[in-house]
Amino acid sequence: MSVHKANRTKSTIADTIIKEMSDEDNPDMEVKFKGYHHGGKGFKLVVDNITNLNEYTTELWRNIISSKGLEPQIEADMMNGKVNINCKTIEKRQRNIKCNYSVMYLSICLVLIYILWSRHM
Amino acid sequence: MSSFDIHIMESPYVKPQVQLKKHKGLHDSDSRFVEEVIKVISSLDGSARMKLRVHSKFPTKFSITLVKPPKMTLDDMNQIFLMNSRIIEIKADVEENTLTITALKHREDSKKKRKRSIAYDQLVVPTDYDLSMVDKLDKKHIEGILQNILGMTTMEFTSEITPNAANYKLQISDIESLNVEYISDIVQKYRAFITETTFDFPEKKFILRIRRNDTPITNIMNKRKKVKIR
Repeated sequence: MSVHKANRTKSTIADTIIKEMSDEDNPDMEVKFKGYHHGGKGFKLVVDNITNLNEYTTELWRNIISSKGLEPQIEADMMNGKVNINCKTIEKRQRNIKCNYSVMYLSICLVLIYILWSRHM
Repeated sequence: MSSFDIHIMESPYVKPQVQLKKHKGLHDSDSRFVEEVIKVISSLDGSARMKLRVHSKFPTKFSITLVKPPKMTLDDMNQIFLMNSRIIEIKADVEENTLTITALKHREDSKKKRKRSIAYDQLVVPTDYDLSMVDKLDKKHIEGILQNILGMTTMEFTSEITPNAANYKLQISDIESLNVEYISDIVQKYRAFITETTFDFPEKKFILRIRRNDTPITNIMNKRKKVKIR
């Protein structure tokens, strides 16, 4: 009985990134889709057969991934000759709800003080 | 990286005969360790199609990758740990069908000890996980085991639970490589419940047998304790 089934179908964003990642310096390079992160917070790509990895290549990859609204994390595994790329969704900064509540309470207090003061006058 | 084909007669009565040519980048004791590992794994059923890759280019560490290894239990993995104190990690990739052992190279001057692996996070079991087949009594420990496995990898994986009369069979597939030392820690943590741990490479699955809370404990998987002899 299945508890959870991992999704293995490539999303269109992943497919576009893989297509755009072609590199003239690495003609044998192969980019594979490894799967999704827990809770759909992005996905992982694995680059095999890479012969030349320099700053230009990594920067190019970063730009491609960032342009799709994802945060890249590039990790080279030299022992196995591959590069792991984690494409994470950029988490939206949570609004500071606590701060908003304080402002609201403070303004209510000020209004009440003003009402009391005006009645005394 | 060099690769070797291992030809073994698959019979329980035939002693595995492993002969490797001396590897260039390895010390005698490291080569012996490689040989011993193959002997141990070759003695298991289903090891006839196994292939070996040794990576020894780096000056301080080397790795042995066994491609298409047989079905192995956690006890088999622990045997490998006991064979060399300089093992850094053992990673089992059931998806890629590989078992990788990374160890520090033998050096006369260094007495470096193996570092313990990093602890992983414990993730909350996502709400979309269906645990309806698990009894109320067993939900707590099964969720605990799942939380630990979830914390080990950032990638999602497929999990199935088959309820039996005495236990649950938890089958995990489509998972990233498993750190054997971490699995060992989970088994130790839930030793009253996990009765069997199998790395089923041919079936591309990692299997845990988890005891039901209403069945008696027959055996507890315990780690060996070090005994000091004075």
